[in-house]
Parts: sequence; C-alpha cells; structure tokens
Amino acid sequence: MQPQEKFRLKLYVTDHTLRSRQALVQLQRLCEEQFPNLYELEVVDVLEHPAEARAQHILATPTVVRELPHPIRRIIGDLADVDKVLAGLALHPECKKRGR
Amino acid sequence: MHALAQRWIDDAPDGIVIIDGEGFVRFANRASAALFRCGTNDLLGQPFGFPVAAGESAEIEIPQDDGSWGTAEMRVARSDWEAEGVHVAILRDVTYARRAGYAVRQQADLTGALVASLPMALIALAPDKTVSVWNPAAERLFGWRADEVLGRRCPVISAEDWPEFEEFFTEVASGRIIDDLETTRLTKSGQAVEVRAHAAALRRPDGSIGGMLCLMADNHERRQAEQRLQLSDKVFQNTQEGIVITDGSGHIISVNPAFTAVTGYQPEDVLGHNPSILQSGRHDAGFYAAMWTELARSGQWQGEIWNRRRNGEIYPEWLNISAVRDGGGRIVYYVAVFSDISLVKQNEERLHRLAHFDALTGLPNRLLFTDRLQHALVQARRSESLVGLLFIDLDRFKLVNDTLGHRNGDLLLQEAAHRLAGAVRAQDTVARLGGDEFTVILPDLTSPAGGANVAEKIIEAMAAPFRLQGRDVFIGASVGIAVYPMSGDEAETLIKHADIAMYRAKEAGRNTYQYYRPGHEEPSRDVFELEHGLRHALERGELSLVYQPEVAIETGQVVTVEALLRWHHPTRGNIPPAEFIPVAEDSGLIGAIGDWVLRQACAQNKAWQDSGLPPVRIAVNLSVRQLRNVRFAERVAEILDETGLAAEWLEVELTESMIMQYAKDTMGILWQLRSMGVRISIDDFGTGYSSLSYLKRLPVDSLKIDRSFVEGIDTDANDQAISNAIIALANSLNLRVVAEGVETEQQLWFLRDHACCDAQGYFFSQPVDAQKLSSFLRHRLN
Repeated sequence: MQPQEKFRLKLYVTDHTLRSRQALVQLQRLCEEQFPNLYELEVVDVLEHPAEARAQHILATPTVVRELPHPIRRIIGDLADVDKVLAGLALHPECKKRGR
Repeated sequence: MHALAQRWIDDAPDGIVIIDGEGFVRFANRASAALFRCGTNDLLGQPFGFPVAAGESAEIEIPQDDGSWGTAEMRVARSDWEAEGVHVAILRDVTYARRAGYAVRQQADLTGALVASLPMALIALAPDKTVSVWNPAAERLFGWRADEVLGRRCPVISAEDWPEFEEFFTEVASGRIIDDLETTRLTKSGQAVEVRAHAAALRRPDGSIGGMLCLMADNHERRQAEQRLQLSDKVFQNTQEGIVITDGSGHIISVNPAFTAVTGYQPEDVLGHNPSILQSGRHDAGFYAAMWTELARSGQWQGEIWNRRRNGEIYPEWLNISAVRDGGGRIVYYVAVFSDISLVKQNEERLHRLAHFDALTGLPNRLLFTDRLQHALVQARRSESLVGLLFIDLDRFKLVNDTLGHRNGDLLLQEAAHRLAGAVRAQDTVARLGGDEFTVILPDLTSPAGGANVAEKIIEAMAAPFRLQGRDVFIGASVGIAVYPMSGDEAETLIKHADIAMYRAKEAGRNTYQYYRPGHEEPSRDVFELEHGLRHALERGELSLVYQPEVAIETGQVVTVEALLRWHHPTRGNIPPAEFIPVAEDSGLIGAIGDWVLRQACAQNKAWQDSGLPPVRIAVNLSVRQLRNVRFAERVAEILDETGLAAEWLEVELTESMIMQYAKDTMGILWQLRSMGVRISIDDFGTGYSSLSYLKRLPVDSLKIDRSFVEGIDTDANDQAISNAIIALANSLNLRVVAEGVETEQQLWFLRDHACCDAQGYFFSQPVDAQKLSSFLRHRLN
C-alpha cells in the first residue's frame, strides 16, 4: 500500500456547457473531501483537443480517466453520486466506511 | 428465441452497449453505432468506461468530428452476460430535444438580459393585475424593488385612478395597443411622475392572453422640452413683433404672421429672398455696412431703420438682429425681431402737439410760448433789438360763457384766436395761456411804439361783433404791453409786467391798452385774492353805498339819487368798482352783493322819506348776471316789501352794451319790473351798439348820456353832435335823459340849451355817504 501516492485524474468534457462545469465542480469537491492534497486533476475539452480525445479513445463525455495509480480506469456519466464514482474509479476503499 | 432476442436488440431504437468488467465494449447494437457515427464492430473493444448515473439516468455528450456534439440520455443496468458481470448502457439520442431546449434557454437568458438592461421601465401584469415583471428601470422610475411588488397589485396606479385603469386594462387585454400615452403615475415616495407609456396585451405561446405588458419612460424632460418648443412657437406665431429668420447666407427661411401684418408680404413672397427686398432706400450703403460689421463683431445689432411695406409705404421700425452660431462658431441663422414704430412716432408728434399747442385754438400754449419768448430774448440780446410782449384779456368773456354756455364760449375763443393771428406779423407768436388770456410775442420790434400799433389792431379786431347762435355778441380786449429791455430783462419779469399792464388797461375802462410803467405793480391785483376778500367783504361790513344825486336842470330839484357801491378793503383801502365788480360777476358773488345793495338802497330811501325829506327815486345799478335769475323780479318785490319802499321810488340801471346784447334774455324780467312800477334806465348810453328797434320795445324810462360825451360837450363838435342826437332820441321816445359826469357850468348850459332834462356830476355833488346826502337834500329843500 502506498497511501502517500498521488491520484492523477483527467476529466474530459465537451465545450463549457453547464453539465461540463457541474462535472468539474462535483469531481473537485469529491477529491477535496476524499483525498485532499493527494490528487492531480486535469480538464480536457475534447472540442479543443480532438487529437488527444481520439488518442485516448474518448467516446463520450463527461469521462473521468484515472491515469494513476495503474491500471487505468475510466467512468462515464453523471458524477453526482459520490459512491458510484468512487466505485467506478476503484478508488480508496475507506471512503465507503466514511460515506455511510 | 435467442436469435429473435438478438434481432430485437439489434433493431431496438435505443443504443445498447454492453461493457465488460474492465470497462471495454463487448457489444454494441446498430442504434449505438449510429450514435457514435461508426460501425458496430468499430465500437467493440473500445474503452467506454464504467457508466454511472446519479438517478435513473445520466446525460452524456458525444463529440463529433465537425466540432459539434450530440446528446444521449444514458440508463445503466447491471447484468450477467456469458457468466461475466457486465454494465448495460441504454442510450437514447436526445440531441434535437436538448438542442431545442438549449436554444430556448439561451433565448430565455437573452430575454432576461434584455428586460434587465432595457432603459425603459418594463412592467408586466398578470390577468389578475398583479405584477409579474418589474425590471430595474421600473425600480429606478418608481422606487419599488422587484421583490416588493412582484405578485402584488400594481402600486403605480393611485386608488382613485384604479377604476379607470381597470377599464384600460380590459381594453388592452382585448387587443388594443396603446402608443405614446402621456399620463401620471405614482412613485413609492408618493409623488406623481409624468410618464409616456406604451401598452399591449401579453400573449402566451398558445395565443391566450396572459395579462398586459407596459413600457414606460419618464416624460418630464421630454414634455418640458416639448412645452418649451410649443411656447416658442406660440410666441413666434402670436407676438406683435415681426420676426424674420434667415440662414447664414441671409436667405429668409421663416417669417411670422406679425411680419406679414407689418410688411404686407406673405411668407411665399419672401421665403428664399434676402431681407434687402424690404429696404426703403432711406439709408446709404455705409449704414448697412456698419450694421454688418457690428453683427460680425458682437453677434448683435439694434436700431431704428426705415423699411418699405409691400404697398410701397415706408415706415420706421425698431430692429434687433441676433446671429445664431453652431457649435463650431459658424453663423447658421440670423434672427431679426422688429416692431413697427410708426404709431409710436405719430404718438410722439401728437404728444409734442398736445404738450406745446392749445387743443381748442391750435395756438401755442404756455409751454411753447415760454420757449419762444426765451428764444426771442436770446436773439434780442445778441442783436441788441427790442422784444414786445402783449397780454390780452377778453373783456366780458366770462359773461358770455355763463350766459350762452361753454360751447359758445369755446366758439368765441376760437374766433378770437383767429382774429388775433390775423392781426400780427408772420414772425410774431400768438399764444393762449388759458381761459381768455392770450399773449403775443413781437420779436425784432423797431421801437416800443410798435407794441401799441399791434395792440390797437387787436382791440379793433376784437371790437367787431362775434356771431354766436344767430346773435351778435360784443366783447372787447384789454391789452398790457411790456417791452424788452425797458420793462424787464428776463422772460419772467416781462410776463409779470405785461400782466400788470393788462390789469391797468382793464381798470382804465377796457377796450384799451397800457404800457407797463414802473410803479404799476404796487398793489397786488391778484384776482383770486380779490375774490377771496370779496367773499368776506359783506359779512365784515366792508361794503358800503355812496349816493350821487341826479338833478333836474330846470328846477334844481333832486329827482333821483344813484346808489354806488364801495369796497373798503382793510389793508388795501378803497378798491374801485371797475376792479371788483367783474370779479363779483365772474365768481357769482354778484347775486348776494346785488341783493344787499338793493335792500340797503331801498331801506335808505325809505329812511329819507320817513325823515320827512321830499321823496326821490333811488337808482341801483344791476348786473346782467342778476337779471339772468328768473326769479329776480320776485326778489325785488320781496325787498320792496321788506323795506316798505313803494316800487315807483326804485329805479334800476343797466349799461347799454349789456341790455342790447342780452335783450332777448332780459326783456321778460324788465317787463315784470316795469309792471311792478319799478323804473328802468340805460346807463353809459352812446357807447354801445344800440338797436333802435329794441330800444322802442324795451320798457325803458330814461337814458343816461355817457360821461365821455359830456366831457367834451362844450368844445368838441363830435361830442355835441352825439349828445344832441341822444337827447333828441330820448325826447322823441318820451324818455327822460340824464347827462352823466357834468362838472362845469358850461356843460350844464349846453345841456339846458339842448333840452336835456336832468344832470348828474361833480358840478352838483360827488358821490357821498347817506348822511351827507341827507344834508344835501335838506339844503336843496331850503
């Protein structure tokens, strides 16, 4: 276990729509609550960076890619439900205890 | 069944994607491939990721190569497939629905921004007239914040306006569009605010009425500006002053109705022309050049200018021109405002005439007379010449005024003015000072005697009868003469001295002239002072009678005693009747004084009779003024009754000129007196213009030959002839004849020789008091 290892997350969004902003706000809040100072979050607009999106095989947004720790995991959809997001990204199991 | 299920899934309208435990696509149907714009096989093995949804579904975006994106609604289910736990994502394409929704939202956002940033107050009212929209401009205009009014009854309508507003609301809700309604609304602070409103029905998307929409703006400034414009236009249209507006190059672009009224030009006659078409030609080029120079320098010019009306008439106007500049200082308009001052000029002239000329006679008045006299004196000082100043008073004018009325008095004055003007040279000035007082200025007099020449001419001119109301009226003129520098250096002194000389002439018996001589002015001859004194003379006992007998030449017996009035003034001593009787006549005091004289004379005569003296007649002089009293005969009867004197012992004397001029008016009273037994005699006979036919019809008993004829009776052939004629006339008419002013025995002899009956004068007795006359009578008796 390497509890001090940082998470690296990438949020792929389309344009600066309301939903894109909501996704970012929700993800940031989640990271701050679950692992403050232990994460890096990058936002990529697929319209602005179509090549990267294609290379990463981003089929739809919002998509969150957990680049670190390996292996890569990704989720797609609504980020409002914290449990589902954590489960989908297979992040720290303690969060379940805390959440409930 | 399996194959059928496979077909259903493949043909399902929603995209169905099965994701394995690693997040990769294990299956995708045709609809999902269409969503992602690829083949179904292209999707297999793609890292889709674990689908998550917060509730029943989530929305995801599917970017397209062209930069746009689609939207899908994603439902997520967990399942087992080929003994493996999988996620099933069911994707429904909602791109078009969302895109439309977005547009609507965008539109809504835009509309909200519009409403918020609209500079006019926007208010929407629901069908129940509560406020549903209230924008920031409405907050600013009316003072209420949106949260204070939303959902409430619209507060800007006052309670008393509400019923009217409800009608208005109904009309608007039923489709009427209100444009530019000017009205007054209430603010939160309770003040009224003037607004300009536009209102229309608020329609829902389905076309039904959802209330009223209203746009309002503060109308105060705009209304003020409009009112100022309207006011300006009213002034322009209605002012009495003509207004011409030209452009910067001087072409007329506007004129007002007053311009047309003054100049006679219609707007269409002058628009586009230069105002120089109005020029009269009275001013030279230099005048206009100076005007333009001044306009360029100060932007203003004003002054008097002569212009020409359309009908050719030229007229003076007071003109004020202002240059109007634009922001860059360039002259864009000239505004010329003018008033026609021809009437002002006429009035000025009229005022000048009124101020300097007498309205009745047209002669110069006192003001102009004084000017001319000053001017003549300045000239005379320079050239060392003489100036004559004549003061003329019409004798008996007041009598004419009183007996024939003011209208005839005015006619007489006009005729007298005419005659005066005809009696002088062109360079002389005849002026009327007021009343019947005239003056003549004689500049460049060669000798003092020149004044007398003019005075004689004037007296002659006034002696001819004046024809008034079909009768001849005789007046006369008394002339006083003062000559510069002998009678005085200054205008004031000369005037005073000519006036004094004129009174002297009056005293000297009228119809004559007198030069001013130093010493003339000693006693004040002020008529008003005399009148004032005379009012008190009776009550203070300053009046008295003296008596002068008329003696029968043959027998030496006293036939008649003439009562003569005397006034002993407390400070000035004896004042001659010639001086105060005219004053008494003019002031109306003659009535009371005349009564007193009559009563006094009658009482005295009765006293003599009672004392045993032989009876004589008492003669009393009458003024025509007394005879104008229609009750005069009654008055005489009363006095006779009071005093106890029989009428036959009373004689009344009237002067010839009076009895002839006023015969018509006095004849009735004379006959009444005569029928009572009172005797009537004519005084000063020979001096007037007697009409013999009248004389025959008058109830006359005696004639008294004027003293002026008696004076020269023993030496002057003319006087002898006149006296003879009078005596002969009297005898032929069976009238007693009395010679007045007999002073010598020679005169008496002549009279006796020529059959004159009686005589009166110093030869027998001067006028004496009652006591002395008693002695005289007693003496004669013996």
